[in-house]
Amino acid sequence: MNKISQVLQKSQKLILSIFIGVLIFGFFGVKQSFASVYYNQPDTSGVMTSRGSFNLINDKYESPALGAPISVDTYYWSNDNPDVYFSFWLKAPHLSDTALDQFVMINSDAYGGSTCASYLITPSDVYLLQDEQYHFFSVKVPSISAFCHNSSGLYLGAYKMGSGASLLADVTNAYPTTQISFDTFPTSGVDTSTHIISFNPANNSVATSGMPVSINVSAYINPADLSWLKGISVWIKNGSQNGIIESLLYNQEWYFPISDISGGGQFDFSTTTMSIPDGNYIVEVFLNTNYLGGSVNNIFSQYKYGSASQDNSNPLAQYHQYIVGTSSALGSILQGQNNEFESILSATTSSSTISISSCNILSGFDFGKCMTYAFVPSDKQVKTFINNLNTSVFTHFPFGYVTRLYDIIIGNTTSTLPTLSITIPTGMPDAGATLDLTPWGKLMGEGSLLATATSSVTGVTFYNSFSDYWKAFVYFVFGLMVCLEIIGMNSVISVDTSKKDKNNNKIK
Amino acid sequence: MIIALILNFILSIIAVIFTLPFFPVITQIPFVDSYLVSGFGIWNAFMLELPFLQVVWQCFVWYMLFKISLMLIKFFLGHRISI
Repeated sequence: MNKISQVLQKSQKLILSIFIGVLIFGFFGVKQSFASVYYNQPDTSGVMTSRGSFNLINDKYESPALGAPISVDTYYWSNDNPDVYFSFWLKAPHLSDTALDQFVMINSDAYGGSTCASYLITPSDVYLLQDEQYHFFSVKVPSISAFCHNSSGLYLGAYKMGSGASLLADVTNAYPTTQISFDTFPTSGVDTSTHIISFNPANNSVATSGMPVSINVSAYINPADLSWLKGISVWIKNGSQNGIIESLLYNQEWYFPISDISGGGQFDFSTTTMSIPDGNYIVEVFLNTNYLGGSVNNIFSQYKYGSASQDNSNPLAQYHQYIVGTSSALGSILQGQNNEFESILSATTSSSTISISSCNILSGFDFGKCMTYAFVPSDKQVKTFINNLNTSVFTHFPFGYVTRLYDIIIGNTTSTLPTLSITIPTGMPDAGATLDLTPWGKLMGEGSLLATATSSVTGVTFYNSFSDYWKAFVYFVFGLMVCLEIIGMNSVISVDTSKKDKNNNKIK
Repeated sequence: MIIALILNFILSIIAVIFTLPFFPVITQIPFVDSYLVSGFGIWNAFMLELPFLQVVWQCFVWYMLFKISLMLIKFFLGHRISI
């Protein structure tokens, strides 16, 4: 019997460790892809005189000087990524907006899948590469495209699937028209404060059942806020009451680290979901802050910057609710019930309200609604309760200390790093003089060798080349430690109370 | 209905109590506030200078949360299991 239990225990450990390993490394799965876009810069006579590049490694990119006149050719590792796919919106600045938009799509397969191919934009006019737009669907199917704006920040033209679309079977099976763009083009007259500009599906909209749903998000990041903004999250979730179970059916989140958005400006993301089941859904967009990182960010950001708002009252966190297909009667009730709590606690809205009449046995009795009415406190009371809790209790003794400490911890202020000062001792030449050392910026900051050393071949800085490997290594160590912790814990877990009793000699 | 009424009553009472200024508003933590602000400010600046360290810090935070979770499990189920 002991042997059987030992075997079972070992099997349990093995399965658990494999499961945890798959979970962790699946979660942190490295989307390793590499692509480069090279461009030639013509001089004023149109002669190609220099060659530059920007690179995309995973979901990071380095851009050429936006607004610089360029023509484009491409270089890619087709053997590794046969479906690398580029597209650009191009615009000649000196001609009318509508006439000169040029949509260029470049697919590696369309150029024979060789190790190198180029696409030269013709005619040899002066074009501006306004923006890069990129997203990686999987290890082997990244998609890169670009938009341009006019001076009002409006898109010119519309995205379209051009040549090479048939080669994107993998993409279309997943998210057919996923695009991300980040625009640093001058946006005169545009609100340059950090805020969510707009996002779809529109609030209270109804999407057709069985059809993909288009998700569009636009946000503006003021460059001054780049020091404390950590990322942008887009979250689609089921809005029905039983969120835990429903979220298993459909729950999709995208997170874009702010490190990808160098320079600030307008961030645009759009994608098309797969067909999702009928029901009530929520699309929530929020900007993440502080240095704790990951999902912890989301939790604390939500707290710090308040609940997501359905209107524009919270520029950093907003949500919309929409319906796919027809919402069932049960769904309506659940939706309404959510409103009681979650309109306060940042989730959803209501399409129905519940009154005491639903508990009238003589007429209009509805068990579900009646139970909802009976067990869910009123919206007003909960709101007052929460507001008072935040404004009074959490700012007063003794909880105020915790709040104050929390505010300091997640604060965005930065102090000047101390200078290392050395005074030359007596007896030495130049005794009494001080040497001030400020090594911080040279360690790994912007002025460091790691950040400035650039490959002459790829144009990628040392940091961008190796940061992903470094992260992968750290994640690996982290996952290993967690696995070991769990396996070790598992080996000594015992729910056999008689064993404990035996050791304690308390049970006769 | 009765339950809803009771819940609302309790919530309203508590909500009113919360508005009463029993205790002083905390705007600073005595003695250590400026040190904390300065310390975390240096920490923030330091992290900005050390991007390679950021991911280590994030994993460290996650690991600490993990360990705290284990401690909580042990605290609440300590008489049933041994970790």
